[in-house]
Parts: sequence; structure tokens; C-alpha cells
Amino acid sequence: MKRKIKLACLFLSVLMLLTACSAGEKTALDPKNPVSITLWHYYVGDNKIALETAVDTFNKSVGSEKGVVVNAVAKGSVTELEKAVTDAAKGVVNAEAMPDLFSCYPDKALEIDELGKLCDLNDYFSEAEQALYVEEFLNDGQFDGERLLILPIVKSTELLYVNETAWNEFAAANGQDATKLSTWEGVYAAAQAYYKWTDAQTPESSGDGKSLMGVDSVANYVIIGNKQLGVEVIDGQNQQVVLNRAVMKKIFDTYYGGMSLGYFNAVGKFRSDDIKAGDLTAYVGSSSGAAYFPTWIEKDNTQLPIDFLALSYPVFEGGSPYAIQQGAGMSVANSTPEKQEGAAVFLKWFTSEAQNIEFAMTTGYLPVQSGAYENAEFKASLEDLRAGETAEKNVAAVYDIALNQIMERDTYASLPFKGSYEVRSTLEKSLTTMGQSGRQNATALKEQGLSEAEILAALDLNARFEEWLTAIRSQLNESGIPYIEN
Amino acid sequence: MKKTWTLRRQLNILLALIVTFQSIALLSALWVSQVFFMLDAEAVRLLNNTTETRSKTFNASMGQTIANVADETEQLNAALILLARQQDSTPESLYLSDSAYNETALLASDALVSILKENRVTGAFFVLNGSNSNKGDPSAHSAVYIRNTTPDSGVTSNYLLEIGPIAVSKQYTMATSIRWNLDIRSGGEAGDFDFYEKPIWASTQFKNSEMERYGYWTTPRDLLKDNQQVVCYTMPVLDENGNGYGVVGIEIDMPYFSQHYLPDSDLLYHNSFYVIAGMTDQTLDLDWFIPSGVLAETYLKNGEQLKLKALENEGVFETELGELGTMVASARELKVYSDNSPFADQNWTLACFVPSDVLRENSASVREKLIYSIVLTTILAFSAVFVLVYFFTRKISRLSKYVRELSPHDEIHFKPTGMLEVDDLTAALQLLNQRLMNVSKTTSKILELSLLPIGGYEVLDSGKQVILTDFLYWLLHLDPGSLISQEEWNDSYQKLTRQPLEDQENIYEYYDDYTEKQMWLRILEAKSPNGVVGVIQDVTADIEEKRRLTNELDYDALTGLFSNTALKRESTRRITEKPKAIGAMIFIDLDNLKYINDTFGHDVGDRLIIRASEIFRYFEQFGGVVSRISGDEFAIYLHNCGNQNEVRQIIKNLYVHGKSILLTTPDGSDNQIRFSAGVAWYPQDATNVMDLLKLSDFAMYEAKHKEKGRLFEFNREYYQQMSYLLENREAINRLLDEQLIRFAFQPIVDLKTGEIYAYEALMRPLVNNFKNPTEILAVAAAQSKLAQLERMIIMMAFQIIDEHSQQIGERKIFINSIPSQMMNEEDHLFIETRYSQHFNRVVIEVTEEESRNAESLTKKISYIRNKGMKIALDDFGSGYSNEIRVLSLLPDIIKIDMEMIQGIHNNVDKQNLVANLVHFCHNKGVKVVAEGIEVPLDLATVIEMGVDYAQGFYLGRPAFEFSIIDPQLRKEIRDLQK
Repeated sequence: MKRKIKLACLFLSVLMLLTACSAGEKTALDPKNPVSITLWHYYVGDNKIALETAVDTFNKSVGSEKGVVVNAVAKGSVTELEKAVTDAAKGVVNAEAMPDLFSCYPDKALEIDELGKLCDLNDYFSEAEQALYVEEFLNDGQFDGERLLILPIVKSTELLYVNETAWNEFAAANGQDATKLSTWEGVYAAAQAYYKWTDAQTPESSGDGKSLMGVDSVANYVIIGNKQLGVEVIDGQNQQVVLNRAVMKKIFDTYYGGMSLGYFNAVGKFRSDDIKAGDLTAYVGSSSGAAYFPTWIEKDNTQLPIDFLALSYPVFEGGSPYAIQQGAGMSVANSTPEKQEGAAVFLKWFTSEAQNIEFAMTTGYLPVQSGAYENAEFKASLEDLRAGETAEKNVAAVYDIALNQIMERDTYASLPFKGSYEVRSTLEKSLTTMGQSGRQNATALKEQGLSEAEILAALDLNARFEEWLTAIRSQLNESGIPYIEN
Repeated sequence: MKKTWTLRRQLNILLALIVTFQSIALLSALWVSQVFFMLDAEAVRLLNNTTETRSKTFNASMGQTIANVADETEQLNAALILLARQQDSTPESLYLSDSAYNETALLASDALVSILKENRVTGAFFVLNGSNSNKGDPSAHSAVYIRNTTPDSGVTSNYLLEIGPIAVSKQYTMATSIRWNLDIRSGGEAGDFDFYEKPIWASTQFKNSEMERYGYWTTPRDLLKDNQQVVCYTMPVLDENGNGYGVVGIEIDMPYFSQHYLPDSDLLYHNSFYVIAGMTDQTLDLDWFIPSGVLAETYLKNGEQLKLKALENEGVFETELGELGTMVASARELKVYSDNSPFADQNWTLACFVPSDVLRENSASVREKLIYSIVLTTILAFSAVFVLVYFFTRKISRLSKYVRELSPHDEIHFKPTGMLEVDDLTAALQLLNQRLMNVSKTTSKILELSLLPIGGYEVLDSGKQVILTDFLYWLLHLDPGSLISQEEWNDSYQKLTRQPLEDQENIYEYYDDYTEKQMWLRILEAKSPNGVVGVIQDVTADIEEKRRLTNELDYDALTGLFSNTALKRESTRRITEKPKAIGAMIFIDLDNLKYINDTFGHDVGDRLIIRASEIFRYFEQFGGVVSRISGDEFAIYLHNCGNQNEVRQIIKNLYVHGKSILLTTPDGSDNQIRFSAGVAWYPQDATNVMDLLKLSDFAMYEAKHKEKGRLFEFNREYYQQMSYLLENREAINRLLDEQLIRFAFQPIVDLKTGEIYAYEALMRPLVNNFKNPTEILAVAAAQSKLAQLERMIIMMAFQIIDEHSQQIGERKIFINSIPSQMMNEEDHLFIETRYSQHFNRVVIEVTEEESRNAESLTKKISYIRNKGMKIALDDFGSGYSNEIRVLSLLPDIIKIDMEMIQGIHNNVDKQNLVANLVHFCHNKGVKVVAEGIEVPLDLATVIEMGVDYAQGFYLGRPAFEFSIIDPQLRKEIRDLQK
């Protein structure tokens, strides 16, 4: 009797195994009746073109083979994309239909997932397939320890871009050294010196010194500054914000002081634009913007060639050399099995080494599959870049720094929690606003002829710091995000 | 002969035919009307409509864009002319001055931003006739080129400065592109710069014409060398004189073009696509084309001339396209140029391609489904027909089945069919049935009221059921009116008729298990034309009565032994069973019953019989049939008890056994029970019981007469002598009962006077069994009927004397009395009161034969004498008579036996004897009669010898009337006396 039961169990399990196996081979896709996938992305310019080209290639090859047609729709900036996705997911009136596939940051993914609109990619990516990706990158898209909501597409880190031509001129004149730019304190001091040096070049007018430094992502600056100084301002582990007064003060003073006194600046849309306009000499920005760093700047309606120096992201003195690690992946929306599978097919193809390298390297992104870094083509491409035109050499330089940071140094990506994306923008906006107002006030004070020290005193950095914290607190309270101070 | 089909079948065929005709008609109608192919036409029309709508939408939207670009261009023209004036320059030389150019660029970017905001385009640009940054380079043109990645959103923040001074970027906080530049360069391949050259050329051809006339569309190209194919539309920037010195243009990149202007959502069929290309003479020129998506890109080969074959409908074509096979294309020429445009001959045609089979898929599928539907509905209709017909006719079928299975007992309850005619019919039938039922019930009732336990049944050859009347339901313990199948009936019938009675025809013994009662049934069956009818009567009461009677007859009430009839039956049965065995019929007669009866009364007599029966039960152990025949007679039949000697031994033992059984009489003495027995053997003596009985009876009789208390075996010789005794047993009874005798009278003549002295009344039987009175006497004696005989003779004699007293006169009547018998007191009294006046004429003759009861004879004689009657002693001289007797009796008359008289005339001895007797008698005063005078000599002798009276044939024969003496004879006697 028992033997019979055992046999029956064995038979059943074999049966289940067989059906499971056949289910694995089963596909919802039909080449004769291709499924149409709408892809929303935030890429612009060359990235957009690269993506569209890739999509086109996919549609003609793997897509037509398997019955998937991808329609890539550019949604402008990350902000716009995220708004559109949120509206679609929430079913806001007049919102567009939910895309099947879209670029997504972890914070956003968490929010959309709460609406039950995200598909767990574990269903479509086997363990073996997942193992191809850089573990850290993949972890960013993993939630609750289980659910894979985001597949990394490309990653980037931040580094220090320097107009070497301008820097060298200043350094030579002032006995400066690029090594000073390795700390924020050094950057601040150099910027101060640069301002004074440029101011002095026009003796006829005072207070018209030029800014050395720009920060592309103020939020990243705050987050990574905190991290370098041992604080996780976005404490994903405890799902709260940690406001460490001492650390925040250091970060605040550097940025606010620099902005107020004209050592730092932000004019155009991106700091690279400011470089192109000659308004800045250096900035911290994403490696993905490498291609945007110009080979020339416009000076008096003509093109003035410049050299490029790529440096590691500065570190606060006494802090750990952390650099940010970021990059949106893509999420698949809950829809029909065909669409989900179609989206997954595209993602697999798009993140496969060859495709991923090609797409990443158009602007300076990092590929997401660990194999890509060992890939001969990747290395050859890098060599080509190094040997190529100026613009390509620039990109190669960025890769050197970025790869160094990713491989050798510590990169950091805050663990998201509900509302953590708002914390980012709160930090970004509040400090940017503080900096802008500080600059306006300082400009007025300069016109009154006050010295830098007097201006700083008049601005009252302590009070402004409190003001900043108050602004952050009120914003956090408003959004109902828990925070602690210490 | 006409075929008869069931209603169901007929309806089925009829309705099935209707359904078939209908289906065929439907198919023909569909075929004739070509409805099948209307859908194809409809699909083509739909395709045409879609294409038409799309082309109209495109035309409208492009028209609007063109108008807007023209508007903006004209405004920019005016602004730049103004700027040139302010700078004391000409519009053509604006690029030469840095400040003027910066202003120009900003003005232009205003216009471009405005264009981008207003129109669904991915870029807008402004190109001047020279380069500000490279003034000496003729191929360099200062330009502002702004791209918008999100034309649909209306957001400006995504604008990207591809070409233009950084001032523009700052002005609009616009990001610069990777390939950000200050100039655009001409001088590539021929025609690459047509977007700049063509509109300006147009403007020179038609001076001062409206701006739209100068507009120029480029074919798709990678304008900015960034792998992005775009289509551009440009208009010239003109000075006051209408001379062109730059262009304003828009670009639409291919992805957006297909997304926005040739959207997939339009396409109704899969594997279909749009394409925009030039078309001439039914040939699609694929030198350039704007595809709507991957399919178009895949299947349309660049540079190919795609021949199209026109179809019926306007603007619809057919072509072969690689793997996709036959494609249907709907084509519409797009209006991208004004009619008066110099470029109006450039044809832009929008074509929508759909695989032919896909287009006709719906139609084909509809056709298929229609056929399936028709087939299916036909099948369904068939099924429905069958089902409906089934249900419709079921009521009627049920009705007929119901009627077929009805048994006449059943009350008919027709279920209404809902069909008026049928229901009317059934109602009528029901009524008829009701009446029949009533009739049958009446009959049944009458039977019931007759109180006869009788029932009938009918088994029809054809029917399954058997018809029974109420009585049979009761008899078989069935529910009245329930249906009984033939099988059930056969079982019951078997049970009923299992035990037929042997001796009675048609009567069966039946044990009712249910009531545990024994019954007898008379079952009579008769064939009817279509089966069998039968009647069953409960005759239990009759049989029981008969049995009861039989029982009474079978057993003797007193002894419990078999009766006479039972003996006969049982014995016969035994003989029949074993005819070869030896049997013995033992006839027994108790010796002293009469004595006991007379002495102790009948109760004791009965006890004697009972005790005797106990003795005879001895034979039961040998299987003997022990019976009491009557009174004191018993008969036992032993059969198959061995040979005769063995049986004799058994019988012998009876006497031993009998000795132990005594009868105690009231006087206190124990009496042995004595009996005489006779045996007759089967088959030696007789083979049937009646004969055996008769013969054994005879043997017993012999024993009784010869040696009481013994057993005699049948002796045929003796029997042949004495058989009459037995044979006439019945006759004597009859004779006695019916007084079947009469008297003959023989005259006794007075020898002195010659006159008739008396008549002797001689008994003559009226039955033939007896030859003479002696036999009557013998039989009566044998049967112990002497007393009755005596009584009858005496009574009848007195009666005759009384009746004929006139004729008799003074003459005496001699009556023969049986000496041993004496009438009882009652009879004596009767005679005394009635006939005492005749006593003096009566002479009672007695014989000497029975002298055993001398006492009673003395008593009798004294009675006779007392009453004044005379006594004659008959047959004196023969047998027992002697002188002593004469003395003791002292009779009045002695009749000398004829033995002594006949021949006396020549016999001295007789003469001496008679003379002595006469002498003796005369001495005693006793008269003498001579009997048997038959010859005259004898008469003469006796007269001589002094005999008083004489009797005999010579004197007168016995006659039934009182004869008179012959005068001749009287004279002779008188003569002799003398």
C-alpha cells in the first residue's frame, strides 16, 4: 500500500516536473501576430537616437523573429517621465495609457509597485540569466529581498569634469595643483583662489571674478557628502531620513558659501552647458554626460578648443571616498502575458553585452552585465576611444575615472523607501534655492562694497543653515516622511 | 397495401424535410445574393476609408504646420529687415557682425521656439547665407537648430540646441547637444543642401508670391549626421525685395513621423503598414519612402519600383510583397504642396498595405462560420425536430401503449394530451370503459352476491396480462385490480393445480400458505378463440362436509373401528396395491351379546362390544383393517402377512390375546368374551372384498352353528349347500319389513263327517329367494329373526282370520308358531284386545324341533291354553317328537307326520304305530290329524284306524282362498266311515 502511494507521488512529481519544463518552453508570443510594446524613456539627444536605433534593430531582428514590436516614446526628462508613469498608473484623468515598459528609478518603482502595476521580472529572468548582471546593480532593482522590479539598463557614477585648458592657466599662475581638487575643502579653496585670480584680471571692475565649480546634481552632492562623512541621509534600512547637523552643516557651508560668493555657479540647464559658455571651469556630474563635455567652448562667437581633465569625485576631508552609483533601469508593467514576455525579451536583448556596450558607450554609461567589463569588444572600444578624436578621448578619460570608481573605490546608492524619491528632490530643491538666494543676497552686498568675510557674516551661515533644515523638515512633514536629527 | 407509418415517423420525416429545404434555400439565397463576398468588399471599403481619413488628417495637419511656418517665417523676415535697418546693414549681411548676428540668432530662435510650440515637429531651424564664426568659409552657414524630443508634451525644457550660439542656450536654459555647433555646412553630396537652395530658388521664380508657394519638402535624410533620418520642410527668408538669404525649416524625425503621422492605431489589420512615397503611373517609387514601422522598413526595398495593379475600387491596388505575399494597397496622394508650387510635381502618396488574406480573413471566417452555423443549426433543428416530435407524439404513444397494456380490470384514466380531438376520443373511450366496467362490476357483484366462492380468469394468447375476477385476487392474496403477468399466473396456476384429487375430477387440493388453510378448489378450463378461460370454485366446504360424512361412515362411532364401507375401501386399496400377496378376511361374531343385552341391558352390551373391539385391535399391529360391520359382527382384513399358515398362527394368537380381556358384568363376574370367527382367503377363495366378506361371514356362520367359539375356514362345499342362508339375509329382512308373505290355506277334513274341520295357514313367501317356508325359517333362524318372523306370522294370521271370519265360519285355523319364540307382552296385549273373539277358532301348531327352551315353550303353551286357543303338535313322529313330550305338553291335537302316514295302507308297522298313537291320544283326550294323505287307500286306512282328521293333497291342496270340500270326497269319507 505504502509502496503504491510512493509510486503515485513519484509519478505525480515527475509529471509536475515535465509540465513545469514544458511550461518553461512555452511562450505567449506569436511571430505571426506580433505584440506591440510601448516603451517610455527619458533619453534625449544621442541617447534617444541610440535607443531608437537599438529598438529599430531589435524590431527587425529578434522582435520580428519572436513577434515583438517595440515603440520607443521619448518622455523628455526623468521628471516628466515619472509624472507620466505615475499619472498613468494612478489612472489620472486624461493620462496616457500605462506603457508596457518604462525607465524607472528604484524610488519610483516602489511607488508604482504599491499600485500593483509592476511585474516581477523573476518570472522572466532565470537565476542563470540574473547572474549575468553585476550583482550590485541588480540589487538596486530588488525589493523585499525577492521581487525584481527593475532591470538595470546602464549605470553611471559622478566624477569631476575639468576644463583643463582653463585650469592649467589658473594653476600655472597661482601655483595650484589638480590634486587639491580631490577634496571638497580643496575645491572650495581653489574656487576661492580662482575667483580672486579672475577678478584681478579685470582691475577696472571688482567683484566680477569667475566661478570655478558647478554641481550638476545637488541631491547627489548632499547624499554622497553625508555618506562620505558616515551618515545615510536616506536611511533605507530604517525607512527614514537622518539629519546629522554637523555633517549637514559642513555640506551646507561648502555649497551655500561657494554659491553666495561666486566660487560655485549654475547658469545653464546642465553644468556642461556652463562649461561650453565658459561660465565654469569644473563641475561634478554624471559619467553619462561625458559626451556632452565639449572639445571647444564658445568665446566671442568663435570656437575656442579646450582640453579635458577627468578627476575623481571630491571627498570631504576625513571622509570615506564614496562616489554615487546611479542609473535608471527599466520596469515592466503588469499587463498581458504576451506584453510582459515581449518586454522581457526586449530587455534581455537590450542588456545583452553587445547591445548594452554599444548603447552605454554612446554617452558614457556603464554596462550592466559583469561580462561586459571583461568583454574584448568593450576594451577595444575603449582603446578606439582613446585613440580617437578629442571628443572620443574625453569619453575615454571619463570611463577611466568611472571604471576606477566602480571597480576600485566605493560607490554608493541609497536604499530607497517609500517617499525617498521626494527626499531627493527636497534636498535638491531646498539647497539649490538656498544657494540661489544666497547668491542674490551676496551680489547685493557686494555692490554695497562689503568684503567676502563681511558678506558671509551678513548672510549668517548658521541662521541660513537652520533655515535650510527648517525647509527640509517642513517638506518632510508635509510628505509624511519620518526623519530623525542628531 | 398501403404502408402504415407511425405518427412519430411521419412527423419526423415531414419536419426534417422542412428543415432540409429551409437550409438549402438559405444556402442558395446566400449564394445567389453573394452575401459571402460582400464582406470582402466591405473590408476593402474600410481599408480605403481608413487610408482616406488618414490622408485627410495628414493633409490637414501638414497644411496647418505649413501655414504656421509660413506665418512665422514672414514675421521673422520682417523682424530681420527691421534689425538690418537698425544696424545700418542689409539682411544679407547680418551674419557679418557679431552683435547683429547674436540678435539675429535670438530673433530666429524666438521664431523657432514658437514653431516648435505650435507644431508637431521634432525640430526647427534657421540657416543664414553665411557664417558668423567662419566668415571666410562659403560652405559654412550660421544656423540655429533646435530639437524637441517631446513634441507631444508641449514642454520646452526638453529643447536641445543642436546648432547656434550659446546665447540661445542661455536665453532658453536650453541644453546643448553633444554635436552642438555654431554652423551648418553645405557642400556635401549634391542635393544635400536642397532644403536651403530650393526654397530660395522658388522665391526667385515667383517673386512676391505667397510664402506657401516657396515651401519645399526634403526627402528623408540624416541632416545632422547623427544617424537620425528626418524629413524637412523649408521656406525662404526674404529681404524687402523678395531675395532669399536664408531658410526657416522644420524637421520631423522618422520615429516621430511614423508614431504621430502614420500611427499603428489606424491599422485595422495585422501585418499591415503605411508608407509614404512617390507614386507615378501605378508604380510606387521607393527611392525614398517614409515607413510607418518595422514591417514597412523590412519589406519595402529601398530604390525598388513597386508595381501596383489597380483593382475595382478607386485607389485600391494589389501587389506581391515578398514573404507577405499578395498585398492589397489603398493609396491616396497627399497634398504637401500648393497647386501652384514649382515642386507640385513631386508626388507624395500615402499607401496602406494589407496582406490580402488578412484583409479577407474576416470575410473568410464569416463564410466559414456561416457554413458551420447553417450546418449546426440544421443539426440542431433536426435534433429539435426529433425531440419535439418525440414529446409531441409521446402523449399519443403513451396513450396507445397505455391502452395496449390495459387489463379489463383497470379503470381507464387517460392523461390529457392537450390535443382536443385526441382528448375527446379518450374521453369517449373512458366513458365507454366506465360503462363496460359497470357491466363487468355488475356481473362480478352478482357472482359475489350469489355467495358462491367462485372466480374466473382469462389468459389471452396475445396479452401479457391475465384477467382475474375479484375472487381470484382474494384467493391468491393479490391486490385487487393489480396487473398479473402470464408468468405470475402460470406460477399461481401450477400451485393451485399441484395436487389433483384422485377420485374427483377437476378438484384440487390446495394449501394456502398465507392463511395456513387447507382448501379444495374446482378448476375448470375451456379454450376460448384467443386463449383460455377458466373458473375456479372454492369447494372446501363441500369437500369438508363430504369428508366429515365419510369419516362418520368410515369409523364406527362406538368402537372407533373402521366402518363397513371403510373396511371395503381400505381392503380394496390394499389388494390393489399388492394384488399378489395373500390376504385373509376374518369375520367375527360375538357369541353372547344377545344374552348380555337381555340380561344386563344395552349399556353393558355396548361395553362388551367395546371390549371386544379392543381384542380385535390386536390385528392392527399386522396392518389389519379392523372394522365393526354391525351389531356384534366384526370383520378384519389381513393382507400381505405371509402365507396361510403364518396368518393362521396370527389368528390363533388372537384367542390367547382375547383371554386377557374380560368384561365385568354388574353381577360382579368377569366374563370371557366369546366369539365365533370365519376366514376366507384372498385370492384363494375370492378376489374381491365383498365376496371375501360374504364367504368369511359364511365360514363364521358355519362355526356358529357347528362349534361356537371356534374359527372356521371357508368351506366351499358346505357353502354351496348353505349359501342361500347367506344370500337371503337381505331377503329375510325385506320379507319381514314389508310382510312379503301370504297364507295359503289347506283344508283339514273331519274324517267322521267328511266336512272341513279347519284350514292350516301355510306361509308362502312373496319373494323369489325362498322356495318354501322351511328356507324362510332357516334363514330367519340364521339371522336371529325368528322372533320377528313369529310375530309377523301370528299378527298376519289373526288379521286374515279377522278379515275372513265370515268365510271361515265355525272352522278352525291352524297357525304354525315357532316354538322357541314368544311374543312380548305388548304384542300379546294387542292381540288380546283386538282378536280375542277369534281365539276359540285358533289352533297354534308347534313343532318338537327346538326343545332347548323347554321352559319357554311350556310358558308359551300355558299362555295359549289360558287364552282359550288350542294347541297342536306338528310333525309328530319325526325327529324330536316322542310320547314324553306329548305328555308334558298336553296338546289338544297331534298332527302325525306324513312319514308315518304315507303308504300306511300297506305297512303294518305304520298301522301299528298309528293305531297305538291314536289309542294313546284318545285316552288322553287328544285328537289326531293325519298329514300327507295323498292316495285314497291311505285315507281309507286312517279312517279305519280311528284318526280324527286328515290333511293332504288328496283332501285338498293349499289354496289362497278357503276351498270347499269336494262333495265326491265327502261322500267317499262318509262311505268309508260307514
